[in-house]
Amino acid sequence: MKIFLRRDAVLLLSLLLLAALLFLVLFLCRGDGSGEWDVVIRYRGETVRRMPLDEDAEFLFTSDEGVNRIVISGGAVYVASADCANQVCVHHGTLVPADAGVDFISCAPHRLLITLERRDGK
Amino acid sequence: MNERNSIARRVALSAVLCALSLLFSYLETFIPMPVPGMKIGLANLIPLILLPTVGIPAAAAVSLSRIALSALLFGSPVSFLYSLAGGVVSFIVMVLAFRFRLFGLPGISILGGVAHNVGQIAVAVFALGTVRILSLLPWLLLSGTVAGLAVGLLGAVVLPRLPRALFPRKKAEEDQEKDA
Repeated sequence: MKIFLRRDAVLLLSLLLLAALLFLVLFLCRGDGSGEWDVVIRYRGETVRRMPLDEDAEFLFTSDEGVNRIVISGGAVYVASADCANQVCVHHGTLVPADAGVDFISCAPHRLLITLERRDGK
Repeated sequence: MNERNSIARRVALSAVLCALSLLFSYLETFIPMPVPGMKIGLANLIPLILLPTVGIPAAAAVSLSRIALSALLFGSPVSFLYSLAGGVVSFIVMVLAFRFRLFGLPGISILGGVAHNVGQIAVAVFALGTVRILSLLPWLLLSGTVAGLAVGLLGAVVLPRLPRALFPRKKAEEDQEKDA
């Protein structure tokens, strides 16, 4: 029995190509990061908080699911700590305006999503 | 009744393999990953080798019980929903790929890995209430492919070495093995 069929190789290569293509699309979607930005916090899909990215702040976001400590500092936002099991949001690191179109910080266990949006709403 | 493949025998084998699968999902939490939350999906090795041998029902039983037990032991209701969505979508895709003889074990496993990640992001879109997180898709596609390939290759290496008495081959699979 052959371990790796030709068809498997075709599938593997096409999926890798598709992934590469999607990465390229993401890269092209990156903005220049200029202008004024707001940190937008969504909980269960609803915007619950909107605050300027250019004013340093630190606060706790508490919900039924748990607590995230969110820090805005030097034009970037990050989650300093969270009481969830996977810590994906903490390990994500900072979120900056250049990545606003394609990146976000999410905390799936707490159903929390942090994004950056232009203040003028564009 | 065929003694070799009696229901009692299949149930016992599935139960033992479900325990092994559970052990795999626990063990892989110790394997360091570049991105936290990323997994190889070693537990999927068991359903993967059950598909062409004992059969689809046994593979489904092992998959579902492993997900339920894993959630009870190490997880939360939320993590259960995520694994269940990933597991069900992945299993359906693997069964289709297997039934229609589209790919070998590595291909089946790759499709399963990608389907698992797509199923999970679909749940995340509903849980977080936004489609913005779909920008994770290329990462999930890449990691699902690589992880599925690793498990699939492992399965393809292990399968021919399994004792035939415990893992009877279906006639059609034997023919396919000879053809390949």
